[in-house]
Amino acid sequence: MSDFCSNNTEVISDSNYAANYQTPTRRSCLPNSGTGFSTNHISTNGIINVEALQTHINGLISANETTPPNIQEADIVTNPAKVFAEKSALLRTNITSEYCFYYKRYTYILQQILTTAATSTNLSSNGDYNTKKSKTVEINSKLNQILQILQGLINARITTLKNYYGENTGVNKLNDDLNATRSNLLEHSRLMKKSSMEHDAKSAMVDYSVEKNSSSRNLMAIYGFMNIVAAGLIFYLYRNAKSQ
Amino acid sequence: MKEPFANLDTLIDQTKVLSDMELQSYLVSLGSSKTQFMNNNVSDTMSAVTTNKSAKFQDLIDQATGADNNVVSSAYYLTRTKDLNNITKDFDAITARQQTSVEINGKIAERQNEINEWENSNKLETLYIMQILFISLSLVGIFTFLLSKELISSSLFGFLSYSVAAISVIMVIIRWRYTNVARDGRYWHKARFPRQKGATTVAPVCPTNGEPSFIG
Repeated sequence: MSDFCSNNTEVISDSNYAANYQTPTRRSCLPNSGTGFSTNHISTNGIINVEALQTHINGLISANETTPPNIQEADIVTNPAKVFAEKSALLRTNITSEYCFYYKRYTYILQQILTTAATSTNLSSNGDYNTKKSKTVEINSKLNQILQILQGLINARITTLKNYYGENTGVNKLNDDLNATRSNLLEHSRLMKKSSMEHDAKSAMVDYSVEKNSSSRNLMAIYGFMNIVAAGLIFYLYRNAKSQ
Repeated sequence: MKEPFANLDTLIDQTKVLSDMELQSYLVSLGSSKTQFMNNNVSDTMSAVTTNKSAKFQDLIDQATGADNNVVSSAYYLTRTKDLNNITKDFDAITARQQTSVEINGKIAERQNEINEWENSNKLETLYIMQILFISLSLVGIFTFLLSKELISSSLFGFLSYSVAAISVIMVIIRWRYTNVARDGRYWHKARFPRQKGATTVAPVCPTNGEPSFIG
């Protein structure tokens, strides 16, 4: 068995070859509860209608929470890239599991009808052969649809990458923002340095004016004392003049 | 779906009818190994189909894994760039706040310097008054000394003393009035003048403390 199917040990028989992958606990990547696209969305050569496929891919991505991280909302989730990596890996595992599920049934049933076709006569009246033949067509269609869904998923990721590295989006926009912020930071640093120097000069002027005030205060004290002495001298002389 | 094999017996019959001698000879020669021939053909067909199916899926799932890994790597890169951008913005915001703070502190220091300068000039003004008082007292003291030596009369002493006192008081009043009426409240050396009628208003160069420019 192929590498992608090496973990599947299920034994396929006539009782389970027609089973559907989707169960209450297991979700299919195919639309319509795992039965696949409706026939009006599939062309005669098995190609799914582009719009229907795109709609389903969008729904699948949304349902499996594998929407690529939106950088503008990166702060909402702590680590959006890690979450995306885990969810997308889970989606790939689920798709692989489903493909393997139908792949094993397809190989079983194809072997059956080829052997029957090679050995039996009057095949048109062989009911079991006809049932298995129509089921083979159905399973083959599911396998092809899964492959197309996978291709659509790859295309969606490529579109995301293009947006990430677009001219005015994603990385380039962030880098532009970063450069602009860096320029602002440099300008603010330059202004702050200048303001800081001015502040130092003004602080020195304040210290100088405080010293001038102190000097003036000392002079006032001296003159106050001298005035008291002069007034006392006048009083003394006046008393002397009076006594004479 | 196209049937890969038709009934071999029918084919033999048809071949006989068409007289395809070479094929007829080959098919008849199969004999008992006919079943083996069928099984081999079925096995080859199965091998071709399963190889095609698995190879196609393996190729696509590898591409999908690669695309997802690219998206994850890019998302990490974008997230880190965004983090770096946010850190730079935070630094810028902090620097801007610090700059504002330094500017405010600078203005406070500037204002404090103005206040100190005004206070110092006021002290010098007071000192000027005290000097006038000292000089006046000294003159009166000299007059008193002359009076005690009877070099001047009592009436002359009184006249000179009152004159000195009057001059001193007038000087004090003039200075007091100038400081309280004409002098600017913020800048000691700036005087406020009454606004003239019809004069064009010129935007002040110096900032004011909000007091009216004319009191009268």
